[in-house]
Amino acid sequence: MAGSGSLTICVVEDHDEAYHAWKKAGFENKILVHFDAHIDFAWIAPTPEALLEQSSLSDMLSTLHRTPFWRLSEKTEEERTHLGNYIHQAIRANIVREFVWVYPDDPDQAKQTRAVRSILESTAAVAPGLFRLAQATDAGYFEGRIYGRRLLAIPYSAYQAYVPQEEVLLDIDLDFFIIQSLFSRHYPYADVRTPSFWLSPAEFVADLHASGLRYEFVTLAYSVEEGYTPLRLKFLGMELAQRLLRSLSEDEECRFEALRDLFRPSTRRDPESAVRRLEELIEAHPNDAALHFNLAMLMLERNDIPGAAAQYRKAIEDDPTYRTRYNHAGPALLDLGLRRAARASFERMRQLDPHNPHYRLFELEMLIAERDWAQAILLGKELLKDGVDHPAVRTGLAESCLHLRPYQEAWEALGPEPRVSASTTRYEIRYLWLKARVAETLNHCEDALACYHKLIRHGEHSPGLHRALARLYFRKRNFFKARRHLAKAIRLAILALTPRWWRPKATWDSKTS
Amino acid sequence: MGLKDLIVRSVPKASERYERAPHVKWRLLEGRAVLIDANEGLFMHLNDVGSGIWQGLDGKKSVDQLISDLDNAFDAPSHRLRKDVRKFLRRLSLMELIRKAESPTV
Repeated sequence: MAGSGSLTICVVEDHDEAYHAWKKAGFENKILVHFDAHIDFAWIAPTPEALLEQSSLSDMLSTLHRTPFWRLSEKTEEERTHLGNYIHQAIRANIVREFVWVYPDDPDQAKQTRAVRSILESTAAVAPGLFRLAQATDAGYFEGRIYGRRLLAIPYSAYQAYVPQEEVLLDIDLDFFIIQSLFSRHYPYADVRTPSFWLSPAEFVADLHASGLRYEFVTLAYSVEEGYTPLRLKFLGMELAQRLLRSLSEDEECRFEALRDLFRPSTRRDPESAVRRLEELIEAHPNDAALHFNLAMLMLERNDIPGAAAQYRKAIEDDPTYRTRYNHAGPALLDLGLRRAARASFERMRQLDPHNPHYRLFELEMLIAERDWAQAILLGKELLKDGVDHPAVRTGLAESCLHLRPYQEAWEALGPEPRVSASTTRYEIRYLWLKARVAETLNHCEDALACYHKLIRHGEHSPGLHRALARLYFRKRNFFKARRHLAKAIRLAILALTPRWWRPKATWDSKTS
Repeated sequence: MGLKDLIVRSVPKASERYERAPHVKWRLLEGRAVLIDANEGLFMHLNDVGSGIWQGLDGKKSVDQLISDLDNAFDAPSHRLRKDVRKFLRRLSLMELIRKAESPTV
């Protein structure tokens, strides 16, 4: 957290930390202006207690129909806050009364507008009673209501026309500067193989001052750890934070300009001069991790491994956050299904830091993606032995064992249910699926049932899940429940086959939109 | 386990005690019990008689005691009440909304 005069800037790694910062600062009823390439507005399903709190049966039924998504988990809504849904929680907690999403400008405005419309409609389709879209224009301006509160989605070029009179909460994600096209096939990531940015912090701050937007509290998220911001561009966040607080010195301007120049096409064609310029700057600023890391990457591209390794070591010495599993594009590429590119990126980076503890986890995920089960089992066991108790290790090891059929080993690898945070929900779901499947194979009928029921509590409803429950109840000879689950499985399977126009749709208040 | 065992097992006996399953969240609203089965993701509300039985399922009363309580509260033939209560309990048991109490508590 940094402050200058009345301005406070809270720099966070994961964007959901912004919610906790607003809550701690005691904000209420504010307008939130959110600069991001992602809406960060996934729904947080309410708990059954919220339903049982209603004062009458008719209120209860009306709430039930208006909110078609419920989470029967024992965790509170706040405990389930993560970087994809923290704005929803901020609205529910009355911190935010109006939400303005400013999304990046793209040269193809029509495509960008269609992408934003699709994002908003898919969110609104989940709960048409709670999120209604009211107005849309060809210029990419959208208006709607969430829980009766105003929502605006505006492109960057137009936000100056909608500046509110009162002081706002300013919330910026660094990936806003990097991910430009919301319709790109790489979305929600940028094209991580050629990191770049479409807007500089200097232009952004100049536009912000020109807009007359009033703010005293800024949250700025790096988003490196989820792979949205390539580590090479983390310096943009540092530059932005400093520019928001004060004017930069000539020396700082020169340093940030040199770093930004690295990502211009002209510099890419002439890496020699870029290396020379960085080396000169490093002489003047020997403890700047961003300079060292970017120089290391340039040297790596030129296959100067010893030189790159030395610069990398200096970077992580100056700033240990540069030693992360997201210091290369592999995790994002793997998520996008580009396995070969992910493997190449990983192998190249491993030459600089072969003993990076974070890499072993990525290697395990790579082996699983490549279906190399035997190697994955060996590595998974090694990781568990070394005390790496990440949920991905246990699930990865169990999945590999399940494929090679040492079921007892899979059961042991899964062990007791891990304590997982809200941000690891997808691991929790994967864990439960695996545990249920292993338990069923080992004839641990009650364990399997407990896992499938927990999956239902997490909102999982698929034909496969209900078919498995029908099978288990049949084994238990509870034909009553077996029949009910089989009927549900059939209903869901038929529903999945129905054409798209049968599915829930977003509600538009104006037919002219 | 044979089919006969299954049928006999499922019919509540007069001396047995039942309690509500822990995964069922419930509340009495406008005189009716509203239930949420967290395991199955089901929401249901019971009628007056069903709510009366549901409230009595505290693991302390036997099936016979439950029936005699209802006999005093509702004007219905005793044999009919006995049959309906046992049928209702069997259904709740099959839905795993209730379970047999471990040991009788005094």
